[in-house]
Amino acid sequence: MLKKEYIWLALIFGLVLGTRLYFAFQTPYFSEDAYFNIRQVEHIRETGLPLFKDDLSYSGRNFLFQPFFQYILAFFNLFMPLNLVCKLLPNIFASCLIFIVYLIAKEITKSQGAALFSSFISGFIPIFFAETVNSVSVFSLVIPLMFFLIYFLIKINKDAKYINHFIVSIIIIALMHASAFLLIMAFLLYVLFIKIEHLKQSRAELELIIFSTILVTWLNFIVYKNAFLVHGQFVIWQNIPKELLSQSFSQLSILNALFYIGIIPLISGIYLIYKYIFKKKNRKIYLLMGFALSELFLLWFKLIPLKTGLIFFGVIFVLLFSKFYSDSILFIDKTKFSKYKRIFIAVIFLIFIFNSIIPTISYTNRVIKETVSKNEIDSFLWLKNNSDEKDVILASLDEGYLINTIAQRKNVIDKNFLLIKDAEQRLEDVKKIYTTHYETEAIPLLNKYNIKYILLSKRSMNYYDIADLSYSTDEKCFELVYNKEVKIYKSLCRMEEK
Amino acid sequence: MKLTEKNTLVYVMLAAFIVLLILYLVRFLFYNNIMIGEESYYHANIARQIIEQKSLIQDLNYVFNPYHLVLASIGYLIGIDLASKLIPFLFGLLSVLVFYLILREFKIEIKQRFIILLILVISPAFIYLSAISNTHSVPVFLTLLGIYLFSKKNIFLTILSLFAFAAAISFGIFNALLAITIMISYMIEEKQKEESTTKPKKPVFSFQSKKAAVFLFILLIISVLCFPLYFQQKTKVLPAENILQDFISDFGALIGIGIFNIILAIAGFFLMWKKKKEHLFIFLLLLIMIASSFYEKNVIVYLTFVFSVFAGYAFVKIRDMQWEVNIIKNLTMLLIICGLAFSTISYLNRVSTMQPDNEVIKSLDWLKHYSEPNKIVFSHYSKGFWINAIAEKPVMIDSMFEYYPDAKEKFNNSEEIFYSRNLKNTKSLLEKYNINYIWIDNEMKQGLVWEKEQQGLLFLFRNNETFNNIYNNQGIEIWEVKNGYN
Repeated sequence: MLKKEYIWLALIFGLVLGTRLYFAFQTPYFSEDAYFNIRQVEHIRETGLPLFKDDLSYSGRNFLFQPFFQYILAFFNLFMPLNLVCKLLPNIFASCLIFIVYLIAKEITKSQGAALFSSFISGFIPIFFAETVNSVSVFSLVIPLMFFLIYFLIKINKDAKYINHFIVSIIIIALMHASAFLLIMAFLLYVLFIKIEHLKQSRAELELIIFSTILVTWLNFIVYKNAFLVHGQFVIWQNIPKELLSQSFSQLSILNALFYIGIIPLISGIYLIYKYIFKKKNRKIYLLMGFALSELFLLWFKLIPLKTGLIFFGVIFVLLFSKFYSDSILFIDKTKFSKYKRIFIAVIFLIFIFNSIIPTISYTNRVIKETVSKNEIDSFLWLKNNSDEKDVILASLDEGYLINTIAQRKNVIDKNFLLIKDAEQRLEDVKKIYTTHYETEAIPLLNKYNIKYILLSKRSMNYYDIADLSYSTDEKCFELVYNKEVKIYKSLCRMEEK
Repeated sequence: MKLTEKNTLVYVMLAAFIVLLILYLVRFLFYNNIMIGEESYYHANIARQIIEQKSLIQDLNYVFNPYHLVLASIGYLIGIDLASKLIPFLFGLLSVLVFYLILREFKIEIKQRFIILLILVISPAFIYLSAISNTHSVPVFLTLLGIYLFSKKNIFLTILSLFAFAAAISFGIFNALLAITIMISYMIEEKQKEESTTKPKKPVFSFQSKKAAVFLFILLIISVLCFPLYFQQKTKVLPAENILQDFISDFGALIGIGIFNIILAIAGFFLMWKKKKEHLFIFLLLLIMIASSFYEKNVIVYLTFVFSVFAGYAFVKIRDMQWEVNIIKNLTMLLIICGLAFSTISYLNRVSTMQPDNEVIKSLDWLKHYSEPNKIVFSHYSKGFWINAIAEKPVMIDSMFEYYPDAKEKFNNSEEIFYSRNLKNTKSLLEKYNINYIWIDNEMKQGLVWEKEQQGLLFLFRNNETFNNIYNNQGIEIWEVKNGYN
């Protein structure tokens, strides 16, 4: 019996990992955001240390981040090629989520069928799948670890060994990403639920929550101290310029949630939250509810990026679905329709395929299509081979990391805005350079940032809605040095102010 | 470590001494013992003027504070520079001593007393209070002394207590409010004690209640008499700062409380709330201080004493809690200690490297010796006190400008000089304020005033018919305005 369970899990894992790798290896390259981590991994491998002081990003700046994930990748990079490490490992980490979901779901439902079904669904949460398949995202490891932590918290009352597992995991998560704060909020809400519902709070559980709260707060204050000094509480929004803030931290809508999470997990999750707030009591469900409601609060008040929030939401709702599923099966068993149980399961499975697997595939296809193309990589390599090391390259916001990692040159802007005092101004200036019709407007700005080359790719043309640089006809000032799918202009003029 | 009445105080005083010594040592070894910040230079300058004139400052724009008299009196004997360092240091240590005695008087157990005092002496607000010449070190000590002496039944000490409170009241309206709140709290607490012990037919008031009532009456009269000192005309010109950055030292507040101190204090608040009737005194003080801190951010130096009590209470409670898992207890305590220490270390690091540094002093000393006397210097308002005190030159604007009658106009004009690229316009403004020299440093060029090179005045400096660069060293520039205005 036990073996059958393992075989099913191995099959699901194989299917999820296989699908992920199928998509990941569709292209030899990565999503633009991945190149930040790739560069950090390369730097760790070469020097043993992360790149906190960078001369290339924003033509010189400091980074603030927790580098544990990059260290893990760098470690594997010692005996595996970097490309393989970055394709394979994040997908293995993310696929491991199915085991964790299985364990939690089994704890909640005591039903092997519900646990296996949930574990299968968790492998195809559209937003989690697409956002971690080819982006070397820290969330590929953070998410499974966070839910492992929840599993340990559920289990500590049964076996003391889970206390040590919990301590090690929370330290790793705190060293990996600031989103550990979400976990703390969830734990505190859980304690609140336990109080409100007059349930007995386990002493060890409370102690672990106190410890986690202090640890995560302290570690994040150490890492982000300078950012707090510079930006104050606006660190929460990562100093993202207002223009972009509405995109990253956009309002949660039901349609978004339906598409990114899937209709079955979402509806069953909402129903279960309602049921356990007003009708029933279950501490394990309260733990998940604490998570769901803290996410909801943070998303509602735009305190976390929409995608991050939805990734967490997706997994929580799958877990809540497991309870809904097992309750429904139990309910059907008690009715005259019990003989149609298999039809009910098949219907749910079909809806799941239409509503989770198909969106997952279409969303991932879109993400893979948006991955950097060979032509773009060639243009960056051309810059690497034909420009001076000190040259500053102008590219769109999305291409900032690529300029640093592939071309190994200085950029004007990229997506990491933390500690950048003039982020708003830079974003505006870059937009102006790409969109202005007047070279008298463009040249002073090019001079201001010492820009030597302007990169004009399809990506930047789409982003700024332009066909070419309007002022590029002046060959004295703008020499077209690379003209393929991507164009590269060399800026030759200086404008003196009098 | 066995804590006794004797060694607890010694340990705490030693800890305070070491924390402050670190700061003084860094300044001594790397900064030629230069005073920290801008405020200390303002007080030193006023005290110097009082000594020179042998009377109070008569200037209508001058905002009176008794601290200037204290600084001038001691400065007269040992020199202003030494007095500016010694007064906060001594009053800081004395405040710790009196606070210890108060806690003992309130029958706080020795372990808890030790933790409370330790949290206090490593708190950023206390470090500020005891290391930088400021107007709060004396009234904080006087208020604490007043509370301690008031709790004594000796009539002589009671009179001394009244003097201490009266003296503290002259330092500001908050001190008056605090003294009055303390008396009211005493009265309520005494009343509760009386009600809980006896049920008399007609009300009986204890000696402490009567004393508090008399004190309250006298302190109210003194506060009313001090009213003209409190209300100085002030035009709010500068934009309000972010509340977190004003309040939390880890977010950049100069007079702030560490984030872990706050977290512990919040925990302590909830733990003490269960016995709120017993701790009514501290809750009332907290309420009045938090309310006042929204109007006057310097109240934080008083608040840090109250927060230490709450934080210390929480710390001891957390430590003495029945922990099921010992390893979590040890790790949690370690993290709390690291968290508290982290705020202290980062604050010490920030304050000890604060401006002015040797280069600033060198440039201002140069200005003092190589420029014409009594000529007006223009700079950012936050640099005004340094120019006044070190270069001994008048300035167009300094950090007290909001108390001047034409505050808004002066501020707007200074902004216009900084940012305008119109030479004619700038020249006319320089002429308007008779400005002969312009002093700028790296901080101004790196975001305090200008974000970019060649912005505003930096661009106009290229006009050598109007401006002459007479000093340029380590990013500090002094420009002479040609055809200077007399």
